[in-house]
Amino acid sequence: MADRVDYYFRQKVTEAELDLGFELLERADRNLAADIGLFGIVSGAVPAPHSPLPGLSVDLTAPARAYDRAGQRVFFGTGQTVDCSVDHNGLPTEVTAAGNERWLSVFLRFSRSLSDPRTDGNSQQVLFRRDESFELVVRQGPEAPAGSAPRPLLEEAELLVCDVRRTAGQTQIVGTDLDLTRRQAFVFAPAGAVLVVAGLWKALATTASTVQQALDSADALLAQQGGRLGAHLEAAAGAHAASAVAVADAGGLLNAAHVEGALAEILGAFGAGHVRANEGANAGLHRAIRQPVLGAGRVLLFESGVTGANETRLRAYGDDGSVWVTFNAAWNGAAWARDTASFYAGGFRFARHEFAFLHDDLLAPAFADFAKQWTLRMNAEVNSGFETSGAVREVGRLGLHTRNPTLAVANATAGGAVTFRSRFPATPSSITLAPKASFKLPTPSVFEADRDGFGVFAHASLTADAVAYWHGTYTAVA
Amino acid sequence: MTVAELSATELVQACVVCGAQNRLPLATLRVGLGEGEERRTSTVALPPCASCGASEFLLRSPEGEPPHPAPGSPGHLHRLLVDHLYGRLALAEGGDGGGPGRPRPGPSDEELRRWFPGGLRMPPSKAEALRPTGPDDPLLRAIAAGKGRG
Repeated sequence: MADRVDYYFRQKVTEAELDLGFELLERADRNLAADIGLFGIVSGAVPAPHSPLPGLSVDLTAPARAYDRAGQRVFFGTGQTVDCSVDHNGLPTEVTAAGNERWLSVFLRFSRSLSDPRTDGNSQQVLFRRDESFELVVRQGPEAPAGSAPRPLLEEAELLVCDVRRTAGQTQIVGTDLDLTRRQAFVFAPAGAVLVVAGLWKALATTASTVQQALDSADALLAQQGGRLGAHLEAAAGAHAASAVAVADAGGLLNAAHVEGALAEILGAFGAGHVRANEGANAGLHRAIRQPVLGAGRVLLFESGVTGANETRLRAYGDDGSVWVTFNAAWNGAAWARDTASFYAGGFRFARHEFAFLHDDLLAPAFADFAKQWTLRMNAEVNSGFETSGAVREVGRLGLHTRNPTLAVANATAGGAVTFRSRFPATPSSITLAPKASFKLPTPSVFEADRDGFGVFAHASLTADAVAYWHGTYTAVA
Repeated sequence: MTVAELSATELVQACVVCGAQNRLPLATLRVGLGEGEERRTSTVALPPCASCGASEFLLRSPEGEPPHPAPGSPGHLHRLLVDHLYGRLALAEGGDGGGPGRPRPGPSDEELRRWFPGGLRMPPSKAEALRPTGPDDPLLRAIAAGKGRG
């Protein structure tokens, strides 16, 4: 409550006595504000670079409410623009030396606005209204090298809104020039003056009795936990058990549900076919390649692009009877398909009972079987050489030589047999003999041909002790 | 192949040694060769090639020869032509068409029509069809650039 005066009956009240009554009430009002700690900028007066075009002014938002240390209320209802190019004394604030800076401080100060002029009993002019008002005060500190310029001191009767940095050649005050670290904002109640009930706390110190102590305890706890977390994250060993880390397995590729199990599962599968890194030398290399049943028919066992040339693209297939190794030929389920139709295809096939070389020179994009094959039938009755198939033509050498051992003219006969290098698929239908050198012996006749060869004979009438011969080539076609 | 074409009156022979084509009247051809104990009836000896002198012997398929392992292949078709020629010559010479070592008839007309619907001539082989047509053949250029065949 306020101190008061007791005006009495028929008192002739003076101006001073009337003013005293208001003064006492106003003092009580300000004491109440000061007593409860109502000091600082409550709201508004937030600084920003001047808009729309930044200059050397700062805009303050409205409405603004504040109380100074004396409990006086400072208020303005419309936005204010503070000219920072000069201070409250009208002195320029510019920075003259490059590399220097200067701090300005914008203060808010209580004042009164006098109005409503009247003429008193002494015929003196007085102002009857004395409304609460405000002033914006710009104070400047000394110019100094950047980073070392001091800021203006705080004023007892004023409230600091913000600090403003001026630099050499500056034409605009931007957001980074505004500093609110010293702003004297209203604090409703110091944290140290607000009680807390700590009885049921599990982590914070239960001895804390104020908000400040509780926050201090929480900060210490967070710092401690942060330190532990950092050490945990940086620990080289034993940081976190992999068995306690779950895997999402979005692709559904794992049986394991945690990292430890997943790594064991992956490395188990990898190690079954490869040397693991912890097994010493040769890490990553293949062990024996083992494959499960891959399907039915003729299945692909291996494929390599080799050097990138399609003509040497290498594949291995397996079926119920044989393993096929091919170049430039892929089995498409019904036929062999060339990787490139510009090149021959080739390969070999081996089985438990035979071995075959394969060749296809017809350059069709696809073919049912290799056009030419050389097969060694290991379990056949005749198994000493290759059997050929396809367009087969064999050229070999043949020679007959004879002599008439008598002392008179006589018929001499020469004969022999030719064995083919390979066994033909059928009896040849044509055998052609071409002479290279002959003397008195005609071209032999061919007889008794079969898949393995043929016989030849020739006759000549020779004089006594004469010699005859025929040497040439045979060409057999089947 | 050596028998390139067979008509009612002549045989067109492609020499396997020099590639020359020789047109041989059937009337000049005989079944068999040799005399007496050396007589062999399974062979048709063609005259020496007019270009290189090579002598070709066409061999009838022997008794009990199993079916050709690659029906439709050049070897099979040539076998049919040779057996057919042999049969025609043997019948023309009055052979009885059977028995070991004796002339036998060739393949049936039905079989010939099946495998030679366009006449008794060997089709050009796929390999021959792929032979370059000249120095500007695309395949030759591809081979020269290392992009073909081998």
